[in-house]
Amino acid sequence: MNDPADESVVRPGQDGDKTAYATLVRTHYRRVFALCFGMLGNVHDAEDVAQETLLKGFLSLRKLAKPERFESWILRIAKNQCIDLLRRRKYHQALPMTQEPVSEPQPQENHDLDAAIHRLPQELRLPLVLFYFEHKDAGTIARRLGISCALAYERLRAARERLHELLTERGTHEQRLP
Amino acid sequence: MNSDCHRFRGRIADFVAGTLARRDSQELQDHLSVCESCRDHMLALRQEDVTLVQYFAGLDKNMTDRQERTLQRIECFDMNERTDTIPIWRKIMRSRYSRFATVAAILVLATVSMVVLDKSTPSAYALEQTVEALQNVRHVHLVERDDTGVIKSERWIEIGQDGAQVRYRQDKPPGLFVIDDGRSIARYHPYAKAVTFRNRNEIRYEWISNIGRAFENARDEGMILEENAAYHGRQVHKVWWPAMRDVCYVDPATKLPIAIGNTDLSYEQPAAGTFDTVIPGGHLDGYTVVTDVNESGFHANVELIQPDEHLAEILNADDVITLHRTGPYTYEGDLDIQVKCSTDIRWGLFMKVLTEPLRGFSSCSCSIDRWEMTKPGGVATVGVKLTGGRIADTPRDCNIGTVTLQVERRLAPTDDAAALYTLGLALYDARRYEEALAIFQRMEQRDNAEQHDRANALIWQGHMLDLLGQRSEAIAAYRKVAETGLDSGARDDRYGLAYEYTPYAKERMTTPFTRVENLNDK
Repeated sequence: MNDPADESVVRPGQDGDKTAYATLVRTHYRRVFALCFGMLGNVHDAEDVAQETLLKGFLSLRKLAKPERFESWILRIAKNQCIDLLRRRKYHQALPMTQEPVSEPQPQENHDLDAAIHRLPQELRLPLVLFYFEHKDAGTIARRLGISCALAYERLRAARERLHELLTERGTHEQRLP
Repeated sequence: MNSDCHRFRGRIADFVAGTLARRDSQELQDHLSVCESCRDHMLALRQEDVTLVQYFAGLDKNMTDRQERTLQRIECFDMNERTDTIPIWRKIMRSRYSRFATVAAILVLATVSMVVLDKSTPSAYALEQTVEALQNVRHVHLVERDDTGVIKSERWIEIGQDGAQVRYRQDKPPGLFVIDDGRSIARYHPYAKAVTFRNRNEIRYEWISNIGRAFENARDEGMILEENAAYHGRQVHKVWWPAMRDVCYVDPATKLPIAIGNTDLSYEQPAAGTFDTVIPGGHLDGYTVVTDVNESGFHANVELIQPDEHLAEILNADDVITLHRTGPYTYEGDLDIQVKCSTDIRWGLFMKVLTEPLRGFSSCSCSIDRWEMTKPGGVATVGVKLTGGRIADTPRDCNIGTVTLQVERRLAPTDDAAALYTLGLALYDARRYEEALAIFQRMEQRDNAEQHDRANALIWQGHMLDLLGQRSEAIAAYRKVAETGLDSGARDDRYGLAYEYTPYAKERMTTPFTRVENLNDK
């Protein structure tokens, strides 16, 4: 994930150029969000953690020794932030996110799918998000997750089958009253 | 489903996603053309695939807004708050000369240190001193900050003589406000404007367990990293605290830790009322006090979409009831919803939970899964138990708890004598004698019916026939019982009836049955 294009933007960012860093945010936000969503399974948590990640990235950008590796660096921060959140939740079951959520109209309310995706194990959810959200093929998913290509296929298949089980067990196909 | 299906099922998901090899695809398609079950499965997965594509496309719609919110937050930051000073080691490693110079300096320092240590110079500070100092601490105020200096959490803790936490208060992060006053735990939910009180045995909020003894392991496993070091303009001893896996900064004067990692500690007596679990005014005005999460005080916040009279129709139609929660709450703990249904249905009714609640609760179950017989027009109450919910901690969590129940109407099992007897009597109560007669006939004609069940069924057939004015048929029914010579009997206190089959049947052959009322109906 070396990107020489990043290098030319990271350097000014390291000197405090917020405009340069904004370019990095716009380039990488979606990918950071996707990783957070894949790890946390919740859109709102993903947004909060993605925001924390990019803020943290800005605050510690000068520590980045190889600017061309910005993407893998910021994704690593995102991953650690997600792990931190999951760990905190484990210890403090009632602990809410620190960021006050911003209310916004939802593009589509699909609570069944929301809930089913949330209930997927993380190891299945991540490949699913990379496939459907980032439109990555199995080879790229395998590289991203550090697994074999065959295992990436296997997890994609398992994710869809598990999702089918969750959706049908919850009776989504039944008509609901409003 | 045939024996081939197992072989093909695993490939369908790949086929739908377009990740199946071409050769396997052809083989699968051949199978799909002859297997309806696998075809249905494929169509279901394909529909879900479309839904997934739409779902993830929907996430993209707000992506720009999300980015902008992030950029706004970054924009608000003062550059002076940046903490990313270049590490000294990186500066050193940039130059070959500085690398050599550093190595040399380290060697010299190491040599000097060894000489000094060899003389066994006693340390001015010992970890034991902090352990002892902490034993006298009765109050701790903890403020944890993130890397940017923003307060992440703030706590006040009162410690007893035995080192255990006595009272506790936590104000941050936003949405988390807890006071443990030593008797119960109040959890304030700013977004839901609610406060719950919980038993201290059920849940505990604490910074670290057994706080007064927590530092003791530092005595053996801790390490003094540096004495008289500088820390935010103060002189401190830097100590490795193994229990917290973090660096602890100890005040040389008091020997008490003033910071651990990113958390600052102070030991002042908290202001009066800090641990009082009253609802203060100001921004906490208008809070709903939920005194016991398992009591019914919350029921007012649960509304049925359908009024009761509508529910009766729904019951008749084998349809679905949707309970919709209103108000800013999901629920912490268990919640019983009482669903009152008016019905004149005399059949065995079974109610089952169709789905789990969508969000806000982890599970949902009915207190009974079988409808109890009720009088015509009577009211039956079914308890619905929701568990694992929580009070909304964000505005987003509000108004989302939904429970869907399916009420299914089924005839009582035909092979169950007791169910048929109950059903027959319910129809008798409703003066629906012909229907009751049919039920008692089914009860008699069951395969492998017990002799006394058959006798009882015949007795009640006779009763129904008498009430329908069919006296000769009634006598025939009674006669069948009388001819068995059974010496056992039956008793039903609801009708004030107690009889032995044979003599009672003979009596009814001479005297017709007259209606007796169900005493439970009075």
